[in-house]
Formats: sequence, C-alpha cells, structure tokens
Amino acid sequence: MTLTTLESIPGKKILEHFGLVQGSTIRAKHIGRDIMAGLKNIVGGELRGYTELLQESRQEAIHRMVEQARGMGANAVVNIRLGTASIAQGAAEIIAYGTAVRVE
Amino acid sequence: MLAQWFFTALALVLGVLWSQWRWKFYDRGQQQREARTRIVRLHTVGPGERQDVELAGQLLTASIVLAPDFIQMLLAGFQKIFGGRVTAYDGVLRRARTEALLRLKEQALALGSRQIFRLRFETTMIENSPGNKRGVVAVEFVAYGTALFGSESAH
Repeated sequence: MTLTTLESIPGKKILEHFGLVQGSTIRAKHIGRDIMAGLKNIVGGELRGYTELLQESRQEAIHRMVEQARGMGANAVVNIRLGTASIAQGAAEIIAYGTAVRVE
Repeated sequence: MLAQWFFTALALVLGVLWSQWRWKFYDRGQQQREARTRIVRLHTVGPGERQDVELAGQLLTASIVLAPDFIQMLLAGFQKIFGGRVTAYDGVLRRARTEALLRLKEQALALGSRQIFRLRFETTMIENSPGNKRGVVAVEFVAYGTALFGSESAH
C-alpha cells in the first residue's frame, strides 16, 4: 500500500478510483501522563508523553484508513490529509483521510 | 511588607533569567540540527512534471507537543492585557514548528530522501478542558508530507 500526500503517484497511472477513505480515533491521556505533564507545564518544554500518545493515535488513524482502502481493493491512498481536534476533557480526535486508488 | 515585595520581585527576575537561559539552550540545539538537515528541500506543492524524482515515495509525519514554562505563561497573561504581539507564545509556536520540521527532515534523511513534497502543517491547542485556562496548556504541532527519492542536485 502506497501512502502519499500527492494527488497522484509520480510515474504511475491511476487505473481505478474508489473515492474517499478515512480513519479516525479518539484518545484520552491517562492520569499518570497527565500528572507528569502538569509538572512539566511549570518548567515548560516538550511533553513527551503527549507527543507519543498523539503519534500513536495518528498511526492508528492511518492504519484504519489503509484497512478501509484495502477492503475496496485499492493499492494506494493519495492526497492524504491529517487533522487533530482537541475535544472535551483532555481527549483528542485524530482523523486521516484520503482518496483510495488503484495504480499500475 | 517591603521584604515581601523585594523577594517577589527577585523571584520574578530570576525566573525570567532562567526562562531565557533555558530556551536559548533549546534554540542552540535546534540550530545545530538545522545546519545538519539543511540539505533536505521542502515543497508545499507536488512534484508536477519533474523528472528528477522517482519512486512512489513515502508518507512522513512528525509532531511535537510543546508547553510554555510558567514564566512565559505569566508574561503572556500580562501581554494579553495590552494586546498586540504576544511574544511569549510567539516563541513557543516558532520552536514547535521548527522542531516538527526538523524531525520530518531527519526522518527523510534517515530514509535517504532529500525532497519532501506537499508539506502540510497542523496546529492544535491542548487544554485540560476547552475554554478552561487552568491546567495543562500546550500546543501540538504536526508536519507531514511525502518524501520522494531522486537526484541530489535537485532544487
């Protein structure tokens, strides 16, 4: 499965177009991470726990999108976009979406 | 009473000095990495008809959650009274953006790519609960794009 943010894959022709595929996940930080982050907020700097959490969620969202594309018989997802929204009480929704296609 | 004011002022001054020293240190690290990854070229557009890049490429995502320190939050609070440029948050966002880009470029270099196309940014504020100013306030910065492989001389 080829994943790209480009509209097409350089040097390859799109044979079939399957339309929109998406994957999303909502994650909340757990309390241990939250307490550490609270402490870190006094001295500032990177909140590593959050960075990892969101990065994991992003991978999962992308994975779900890929599964959906695979189910359609696609072998690539083009024009991928990512989005993050901070929703209530320290939870974040991560969404990945793109267009499933079959290339040569 | 006077002693109390004196110590508060002293703590504040020390805090500001510490904060500046701390971030200067952070910036220096970023500058060194910037120099090492300068070879990677970033494009917000696709490769178009270019012939010097090949292969399918690979999706790269890099992110960071960066929090301002206590002193910066205090300063930002003051600055918000007068409006205008909020320099305290300015720095946090700039550093987060730089860091996300550096990580992206380092990933590309590790894969042997020197070109990233269709680069996109994404910023999210992280608060304990939306609209509530207490608790953790940080900014998440995401940079993502497609690394393509091709000739090294490409611009």
